[in-house]
Amino acid sequence: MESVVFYFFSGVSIVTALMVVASPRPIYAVFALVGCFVSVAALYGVLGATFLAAVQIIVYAGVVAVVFPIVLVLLDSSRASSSREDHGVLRWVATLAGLILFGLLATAVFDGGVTPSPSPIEPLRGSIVALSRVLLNDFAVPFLGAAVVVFSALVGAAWLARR
Amino acid sequence: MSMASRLLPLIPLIPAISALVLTWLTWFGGSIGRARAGKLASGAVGVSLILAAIGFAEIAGSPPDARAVTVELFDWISLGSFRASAALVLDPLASVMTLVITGVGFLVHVYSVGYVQKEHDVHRYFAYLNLLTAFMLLLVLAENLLVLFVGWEGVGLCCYLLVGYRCQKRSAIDAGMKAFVIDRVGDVGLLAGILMTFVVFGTVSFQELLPLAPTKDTTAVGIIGVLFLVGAIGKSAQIPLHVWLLDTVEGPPPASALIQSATVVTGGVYLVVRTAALFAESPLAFGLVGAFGAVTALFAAAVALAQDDLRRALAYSTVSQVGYMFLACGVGAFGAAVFHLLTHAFGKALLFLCAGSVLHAMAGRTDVRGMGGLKEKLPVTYRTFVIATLGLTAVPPFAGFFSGNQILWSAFRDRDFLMWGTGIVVTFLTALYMGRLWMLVFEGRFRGSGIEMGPSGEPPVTWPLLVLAVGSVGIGFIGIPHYSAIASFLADPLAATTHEAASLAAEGSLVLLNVAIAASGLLLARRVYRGEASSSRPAAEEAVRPEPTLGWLRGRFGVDALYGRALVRPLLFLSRTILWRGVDRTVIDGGFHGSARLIRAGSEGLRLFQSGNLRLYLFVLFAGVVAMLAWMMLGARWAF
Amino acid sequence: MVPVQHYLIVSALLFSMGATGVFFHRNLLSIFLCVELMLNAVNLTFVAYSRSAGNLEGQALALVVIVVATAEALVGLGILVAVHRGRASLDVDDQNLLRY
Repeated sequence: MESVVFYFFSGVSIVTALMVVASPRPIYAVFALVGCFVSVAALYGVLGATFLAAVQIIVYAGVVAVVFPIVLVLLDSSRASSSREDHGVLRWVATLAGLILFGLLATAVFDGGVTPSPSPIEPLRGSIVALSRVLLNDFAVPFLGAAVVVFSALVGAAWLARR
Repeated sequence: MSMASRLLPLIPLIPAISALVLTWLTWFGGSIGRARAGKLASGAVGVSLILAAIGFAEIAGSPPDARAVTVELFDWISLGSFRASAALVLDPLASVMTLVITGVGFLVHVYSVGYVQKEHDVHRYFAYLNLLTAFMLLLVLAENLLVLFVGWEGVGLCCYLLVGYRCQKRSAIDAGMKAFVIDRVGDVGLLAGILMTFVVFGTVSFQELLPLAPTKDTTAVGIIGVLFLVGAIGKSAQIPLHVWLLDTVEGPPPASALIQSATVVTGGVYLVVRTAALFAESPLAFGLVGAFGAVTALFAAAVALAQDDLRRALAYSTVSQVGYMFLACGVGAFGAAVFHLLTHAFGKALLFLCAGSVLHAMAGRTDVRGMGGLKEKLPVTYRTFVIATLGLTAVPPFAGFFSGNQILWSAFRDRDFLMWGTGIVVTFLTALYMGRLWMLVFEGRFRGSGIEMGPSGEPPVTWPLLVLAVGSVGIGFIGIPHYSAIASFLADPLAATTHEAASLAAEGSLVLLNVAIAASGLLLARRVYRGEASSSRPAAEEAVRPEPTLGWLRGRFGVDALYGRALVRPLLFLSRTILWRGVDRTVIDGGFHGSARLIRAGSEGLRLFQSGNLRLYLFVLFAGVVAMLAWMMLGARWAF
Repeated sequence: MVPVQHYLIVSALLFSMGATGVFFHRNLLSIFLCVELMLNAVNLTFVAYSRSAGNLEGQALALVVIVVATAEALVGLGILVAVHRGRASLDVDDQNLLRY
């Protein structure tokens, strides 16, 4: 059962990621990315991180799905095409580099000896209670640091976008 | 000793102060009077001359062991184990050099007074001339390599200033720049040599390091020698760094006279002679000095034959003669090299001053094909030119005979027949090209067009020419073989050893051979060019003779034409086409231009890194990360 | 049971595609989206390792990453707006102020 879910959603995520890379218009890319995020959230669920899946959809996909189109609409990027010609060489070279990167990463995956935990998913393991216990005790400093980052980002973004 | 040591620092100092005063006058003096500027400058050098003579007298009067007067001015650099003081030393070698520099320099200054009257910036000219003299004196009086380097660089600077003096002319500016930059190339070698000297010897003072030479590793000493040689090649305009000297003719002719005779180009020879102990230790360095000298002397003499510009021909002649001095060093005859430096200084300075006269009369035209018959218009110039020519071409009893002979003899008795043979050929070629110039400029009929020859046409001051002419004759007698006062004065280490090994007959016959060769060169030139000097074009030099048979039939021209075709024309072809255009212009000049173009192309390529193209920057980042990852992973897998 | 390696492969694939996508687009916004894709792939890696290691540290870290990535996305968009205001173009090739 887990396998079916995994293969389905990983397939969706890969296809949507491909659409992100390949779509000519940014708005299409935005929608494809939202789809990708949702399917990855499903993968999180399969892996037992239920809270994280929820957060991913609400926060991450929500931001992307809402804010990016707002910016797109505001900025009227229909005129956005530079006078410079695009030789297309970079695309080919980048594709090559990407393939090499994937090869290296895949090799790294199979070289590292990671054994999956044999036990099936315990529903409570990814719950808020368990996660927050870890987060607020062991990971307190990064947690607070994240809060500081959010705050400074807020201030920074507000200042940047002022007239 | 005390008088010399008190006066010694003044020798370079007085012209330097004079230069400063003249510089101040350039800005604020206005019309103080051009004659006064010239007289101040000449006077300064004259005072230095007197001081140099006093120093010389004191040195000469001392016993041979104690012939060095050292004056330490102040402690200049003291960093850890490196100590260099600002010190001057007057020993026989330095004394001879200072006399030549101040003597010839004085005469050139005086001549310039009359010559540059029409220039509007006369103070600047004399300031530069004085500065050149001052720096050159500093160079030869230096007690250590650092002070020498200061003088060396200063001389290079003054070359740039003097050659580019007529700064309104684009070609003059370019020539000055060229002189400075190419000299710089050689300076890299000198600087590297100085650094290495400190590393190997622990000191840069001549008095300390030269006696230590035999105790050091031969390879290291040899490398130092080669590096110094590089510097000397740049400063003395040897192949392949000779190209700057040819363009110095853009400057005023008296300046060329000073640069090419007594100062700049002699700096390299001085360096090699001063550090002779180093060269004596390394056969490689020794051989290289001789090789460069021989090749340069031969090449430049041949190319001089093909030059139609009077000043350029003389410039190539200087290159050749300085090469001859290096050749002398290469066979161990350091004393002979200095002697030749002395005789050449007089002769070449005189030739350039005469060229100045000729130029003056010809209103700036320098092509010898458009001259001729000037011996009536410029009598004093003519006579002194002839004397200088005879001096340069080693005809007895003129000075060049004694010094050139000394060099050839040194080569012969050391069984270095290659060098000796080169010297013989150079002598012949020298006679040939000088004879050609003599004939084409002064003899025959005036062949120019469109110039009205004015009366006399000589510059107002001609007595320096006479003095130099006397010098050209007389100076040789201090070097008569077997009584060579100059060799023993300079304590030439190799002069004494092999004197007894050779027989008088061998030496005598060699002398006769030299004279015969020189004379034949002159006579050939006279034969070939005399007829042409009267005709409207030098027919012997034409590549295409439209009616050869007609020329052959023409009575008295017959033999001359034969000489022309058989001997001169092939030689000229060699000189003009192959050596001048082919080697000199294409290879050597092309080498310089090509390296400049290469650097520019490299810069254009490197410019792409600064294109501002964000995607390119990002991609380089990305590719770098991937490459690093690959490196690490491959390393982990295959355990590099 | 799907072995963890499969998840890691998916994550590696997403990451590589995002990295390539950065160089595919000329529109700044699209480039930004590909960067978000890369961050997401990293998160997946963390969670997968968290599952295989048997503790929750990976998930906690993934949470922090999400928070920071969101903040960074917002600031980035602010910069985008400022750039557009200055140059009226969202094309990356027009941003050439780093030129010599």
